[in-house]
Amino acid sequence: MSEWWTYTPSNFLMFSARTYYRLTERLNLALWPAHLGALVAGVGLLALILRRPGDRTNRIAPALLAAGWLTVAWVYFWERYSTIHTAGRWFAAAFAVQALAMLWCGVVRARFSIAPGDGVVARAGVALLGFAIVVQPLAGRAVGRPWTQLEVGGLLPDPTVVATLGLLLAARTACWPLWIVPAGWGLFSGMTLWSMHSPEAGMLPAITVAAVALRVRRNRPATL
Amino acid sequence: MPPPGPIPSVTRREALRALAALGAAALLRPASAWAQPPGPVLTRRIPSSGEELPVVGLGSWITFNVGDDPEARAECTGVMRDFFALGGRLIDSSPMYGSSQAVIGFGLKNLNRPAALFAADKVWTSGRDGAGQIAETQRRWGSARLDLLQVHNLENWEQHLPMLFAMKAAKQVRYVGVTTSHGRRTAEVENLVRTQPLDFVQVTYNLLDREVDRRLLPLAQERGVAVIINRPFREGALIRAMLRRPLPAWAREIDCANWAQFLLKFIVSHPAVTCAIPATGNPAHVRENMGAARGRLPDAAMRQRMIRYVEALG
Repeated sequence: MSEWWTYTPSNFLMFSARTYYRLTERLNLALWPAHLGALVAGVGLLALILRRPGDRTNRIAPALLAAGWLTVAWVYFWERYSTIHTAGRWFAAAFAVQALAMLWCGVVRARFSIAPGDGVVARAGVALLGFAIVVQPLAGRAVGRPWTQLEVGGLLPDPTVVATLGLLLAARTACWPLWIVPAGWGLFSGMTLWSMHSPEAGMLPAITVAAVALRVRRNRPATL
Repeated sequence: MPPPGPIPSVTRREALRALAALGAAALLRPASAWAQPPGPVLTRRIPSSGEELPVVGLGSWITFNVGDDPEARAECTGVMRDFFALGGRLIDSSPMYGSSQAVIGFGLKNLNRPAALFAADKVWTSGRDGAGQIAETQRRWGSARLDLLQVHNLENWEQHLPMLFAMKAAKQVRYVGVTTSHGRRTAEVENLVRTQPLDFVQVTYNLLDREVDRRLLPLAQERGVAVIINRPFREGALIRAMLRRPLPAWAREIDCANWAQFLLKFIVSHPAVTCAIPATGNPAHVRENMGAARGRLPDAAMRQRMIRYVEALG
């Protein structure tokens, strides 16, 4: 790309805000009532983490989120987003890789040890997970979008990413490779929404940066 | 560069339902929405052939990239229908524009392929498979022959231009050109205008982005190269900014009823410009835009007045 310094994020926006949100709406209408299943699974996951932390939960949590990443890769990126974005299938591949990586780290290698009460950062992680499952789907209503355009975790990328950031924050070990795709999408999605002048454009990048900062803080060795 | 996504498709039932809704909307539309300045459609000659083109065409960046949404596809078809009904001819797209080519193809099929169509598209690949990409473009348009093929953003022009000239010699395409936008690589475009037998160049020009006015536009005129203007409204930002300001009363002297016509008439009144290609997915906007292809155009003094007025708005 020559004269790269003359490009701005909006130069890469390929579609209108209307097309973007219609894509969400059409996905929601096509998949309803899968949303209820995703919500029940999310709330159940939250309850497990809070009420029954342990080895079983440490494997169920990444497995559930991996299922969400795979679903988003297929139903959103591969089947729909790729019709309006030339990189849509690359995003599908990245989300599928993230799903496999979470299964590998969390289920096969059992690297997740979730302790919700283990300090401020872990509590913030669980709160973020709860936010993604319960509050974020309603964020669209707060900025005036119709119910049909609301975003539910496990079916659409943004709440899936936020839930994953929450889980990664709550885990005892950082698992840094698992942060690459969620953090990358968090920033990219924010840029897309900003280019479309969407009112909630700053939310996902802010959450992403805060989550990374908290994780770094948690990993820092304690000083006397 | 990632491969293009799948070609969006809609079922026959979805398409018919959406088109029926569009037809009903057209019947309910007030007659004033069709009001156009008096006189015939203004045209400019393509220097290399003498063929006349209306001074306002139709772009498809962002606005026609609606995927397989039947409702949005029907609206785009409505835009094309009104565009042709008001005397438009040139529609421009690119493999870079997502589903735009397929949406144009869908619209043309539903409009029974208007004979007036002047199909302009591009080749956009850093690899060697330009011919394969062009074949895919033709398939998406549903058209055996494209009128104009351009090298998009000068991407790999060393490879593609000889191929396009060979296609022209074999009568597989009628015109060859290159494009750039945002004022990028204009020195390179100038060099190509001087050294290559181009029929068209496509560049950005509007009331605020006038860099090409200094050298490139006079050069194209001198060398007999037709000029297509992209980003006439800066992807809508310019017109959104202007809509907050009053249209000057003297705009009536050049038959402008709205800001779209004011901005477009400034562009197409430049003697080097062949046509401007505002992109829209809104039938009301295409009717406004096509109004700029009729009536009086500003002279040199009026063009300076237009610049002063818009610059003073800040």
